[in-house]
This record gives sequence, structure tokens and C-alpha cells, in this order.
Amino acid sequence: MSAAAVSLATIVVIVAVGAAIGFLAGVHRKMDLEQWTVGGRGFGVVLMFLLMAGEVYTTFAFLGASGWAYSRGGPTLYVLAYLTLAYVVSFFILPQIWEIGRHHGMQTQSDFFSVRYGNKYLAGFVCVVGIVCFVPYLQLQLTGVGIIVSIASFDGIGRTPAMAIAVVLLVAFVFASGVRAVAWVSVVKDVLMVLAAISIGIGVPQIHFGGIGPMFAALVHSRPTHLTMPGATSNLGHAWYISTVLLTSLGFYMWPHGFAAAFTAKSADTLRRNAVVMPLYSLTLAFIFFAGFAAVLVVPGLPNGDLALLTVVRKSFPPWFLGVVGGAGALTAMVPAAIFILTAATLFAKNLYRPVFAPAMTDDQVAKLARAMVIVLGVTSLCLAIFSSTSLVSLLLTGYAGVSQFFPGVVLGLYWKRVTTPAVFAGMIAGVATAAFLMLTHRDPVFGLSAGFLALCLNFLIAVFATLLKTAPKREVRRDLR
Amino acid sequence: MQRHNGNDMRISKPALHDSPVSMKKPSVGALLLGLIPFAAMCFSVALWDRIDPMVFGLPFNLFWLIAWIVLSTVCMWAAYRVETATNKQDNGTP
Repeated sequence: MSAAAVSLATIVVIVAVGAAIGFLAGVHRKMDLEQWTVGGRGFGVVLMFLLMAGEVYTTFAFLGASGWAYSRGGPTLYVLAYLTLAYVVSFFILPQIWEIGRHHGMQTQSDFFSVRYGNKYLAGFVCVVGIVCFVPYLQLQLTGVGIIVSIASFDGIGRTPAMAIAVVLLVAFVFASGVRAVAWVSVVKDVLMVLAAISIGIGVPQIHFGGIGPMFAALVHSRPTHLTMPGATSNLGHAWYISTVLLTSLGFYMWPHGFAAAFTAKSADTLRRNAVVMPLYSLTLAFIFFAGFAAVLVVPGLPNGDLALLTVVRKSFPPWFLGVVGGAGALTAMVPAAIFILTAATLFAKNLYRPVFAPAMTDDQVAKLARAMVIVLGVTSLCLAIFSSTSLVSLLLTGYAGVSQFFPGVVLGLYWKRVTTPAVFAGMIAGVATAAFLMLTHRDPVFGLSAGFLALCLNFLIAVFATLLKTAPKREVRRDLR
Repeated sequence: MQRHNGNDMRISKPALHDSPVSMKKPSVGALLLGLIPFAAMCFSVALWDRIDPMVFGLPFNLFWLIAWIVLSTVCMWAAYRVETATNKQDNGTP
């Protein structure tokens, strides 16, 4: 057997086992809409941990973070900080969201906005922005699978057919079993991912430099500025770091799927305990960074940083191991992609189509429409992934700039009774418009700050000041005079 | 003092306000504990973003962040204890 055949066969076996577990998870359960989307609200700490870990550790962490360690250097450290701080933020908002969710039978993020602000246009807007922001995130996952398969096949299989296969499998198992499938495939994925990350992170520096310490010493010697900010970039300095960490850690649970995952928990306490434990999971990422940094010296001059991790693995390990890493990576891409598709499909059917076009639809019909949407979304994102090429981290940050704009609406909605619907709506529109303008015209970062963060600040200020002006005009005047 | 005019009442119509679920704000102690990781991993970046001294063979910035992943868990565990303690006090039930 050729090296390519060995590594590809290993990937196929791993993905097949993962998919089989997904199918089995859904076999003996009656699937109504609530069971399909929020698992009947019965997930305990362990299953929640797996579900959330499954969503968090995506191809972005696997290929994107190492890719930035390789191509950008120091600025990539923002990933370690933001993942940890995102859980700190979750400690203070998810249990509250869960309480409201249980009380009002919420299934989606859009439900929250519709109940809290009593405005279907605001809820619809949240829904549309959420679905649009999924596009770059989905595209990221599919691009990741394409990279994995083409490198593992020693460039024998093109990225496009690889991505097409991934989409078919993905749609099949989401279609068959919903959120429970995803949680259980996460088990396989996480075990593999952790093992792969640790063995790469220790193995690659060991093989080429005799250890992690000597590897960093060699890197500092040959590229003295690579490991600190701004690293190999000109404009990603400390201001960018702080603004990006804030943007992404506040925005983390604003992703519609992360938000909705809170509803699957058994209790608010489950979510609090999760917030305590989850940061430890990001320790795995440190190992991925080791491999990315080692690649700077081992495989210099790659055209695309996202190829770095797998290229260095291919150069350092036997083909079957490349296959294991590739299989873990492929599941790592497909599990989150499944969740995105599931969430976006539910959002479309339940929060956009039904309220706006067909208020008389039954839950059963909504569930059917959601399933049809899974296919539509799978095909759409495949087309986008084929026709575009952006670095994985940039795709992720684009999505974050959008979803983070929900944060003021969520946090003010939870903790500030006075906040008004028009104020939140105005802030959100301004934030989304600003972020979209700055990102689409390639002005990010602006003045050394993350563009999405500037938009978020504007959003917050408008929401707060518009509320103050509307509900307490006299107080506001007095403050101005002071 | 909080003013209530007609307009204000109309806006606060959403079901949330009438619901028996009251949004309990997190306690100040828990919030302060939550701020510690932010101060250490985010705002203070200029202080620790350097290579020397290398610790366990890691550049200082990488070592610092890894150490704080673990220390953040400790902070949040303390916050959890504070929250559950205040919840018990308020409700009389766990």
C-alpha cells in the first residue's frame, strides 16, 4: 500500500466510526422538534462538556491556530486568552439565559430576543445576522476538511471532491439524528483530538530539535521577533490583542449554536460548573501551538499557513499517524459544521419562516422545513468554500465581528430592566453595519484595533444612551449640566 | 430615582417582566473573581509579552498564558463557591 492509501484509509475508518456512532445515537428516540434541537433539555455535566467542547474545538483550533502560529507568530496567542475568558463570561450569562429559556420554552437565540424585547423584527434581524455569520464559519470547516484530505492523500485528491464528500456525510448524520448525534460523535472526536494534539506537540519538537525547550531556543535565535507581538505582522500589536480578546471572548456565546447549547443543559448549575472546568480544555491548544511554531523552522516557506500543521506531521511521522491526525481533524471540522447547519436550519424554519410567512405552521411542519434547510445550507456552504480562499483565522474573525453585536442586547436584556427595544435595535443595526462595512472593505484592523470591537463599542454606547435619553430625560439633562 | 412614564410601561410589556423568573444578578464577589483572569490575560499584555525569562523552555508570554489557564479555573471555582453560597442564603434551598 502506498503512503497516501494508508493515510487515507485511516481517515476513512475514523470518519466512518464517528458517523456510525452519530447514527446509532438517534435510532431509538422519537424525534420531535425539541428532542431534535435541544436534546429534550436533559444533558448533564458530562454530555454538556462534550457538546460544548465539540463546538468549540473546531478546525479553527486545529489548523487555523497552528497556521497563525506559523505565519503570524505572537499575535496568535490571543486564542489561548480568548477561549479561557469566554468561559469566564459564560459563568455570568449562561445560567441566567438557561433560566429564562426553561421558563419560556426557548430553543433558539432568536426566541430569547423575541421574548425579552417583544419585537419580531428584532428577533428576525438577529436570526438573519446569525445565519449570515455562520457562512464564514461553515466555510472554515469545509476548507479545513479539504486541506486535510488533500495533504493526507499526498496531493492525490483535490480539495473540492474532499469537501463534497464531507458535506454529504454531514448532511446525512444531522438529518438522521440531530443534536444527540453531535454530542456523541464529539466523544470520539475529542479523545482523538487530544491524543493527536499532545503527540504532535511533543513529538514534532522532539524529532527535529530534541525537545520543546530547544525548539523555542532555536526559534528565538533565528527569528527573534516571531514569538512576541506583533510577530511577523506589522499591525497586530497590543492594542489589537486587547480589543480582539475582548471582542471574541464576549462574542463567543453569542454564536447562535453556543447560545442555544445553553438550553440543552439539565440545570443552571450544570452551566456554572462547566464554566469552571472548560478552560482546562484549551490547554490542548498549547500543544498545537508548539507544532505550529516548530513548523516555522522545519517546513519554511509554505504559501498558506493553514497547511503548516499537517505538512509538518507528514514530514515527521509515518503515514498511518498522518491518517489518525487527519481523521481527528476531519471529525473536528464536521462536528461543529453539523451543529452550525442544525442551528441555522432551525433558526430559519422556526424564527424566520414561520413568524413571517406562515404563522399557522405546526411544529411538525417546522421540523420538516428545518430538515430540508439542512440540505440547502450544506450545498450553499460547499459552493462558497469552493470559490473562495481566505485564511481560517480571518474567516473566524469575520464571523465574530458579526455575532458579537448581539452581546449588548443579551447582557442589557438580562440585567437592565429599563433598556428599551428601540435602543437595543438601533445599537445592533449600527454595530452590524459598522462591522460589515469595515470588514468587507478590508479596513480591519482600524487604528490598530479590531474592527469588530469598535463596532461593538458603538453598539453598546447607542443602546445605553438611547435608553437613558428615552426613559429618564430629566436626569440626563442634569448630568450634562454638571 | 427611576421615572416611570407611559412610554416606559409600554416598552416593558415583554413577558419576561411579568414572569416569576427573576434575573438574579451575580454577586459582586463572583464578578471581582471573574475580573482577575481578564486583568491577567488581557489588559496586562504589555507587561508579559516578552520572551525572557524563558520558563520550562517556553517563552515568557506563552508560559504566562498557560499558567493563567489553570489559575483562571481556580478563580472561577472560587466564584462558583461564592455564587452557590449566596444562592443558598437567598433561597433557603440549594
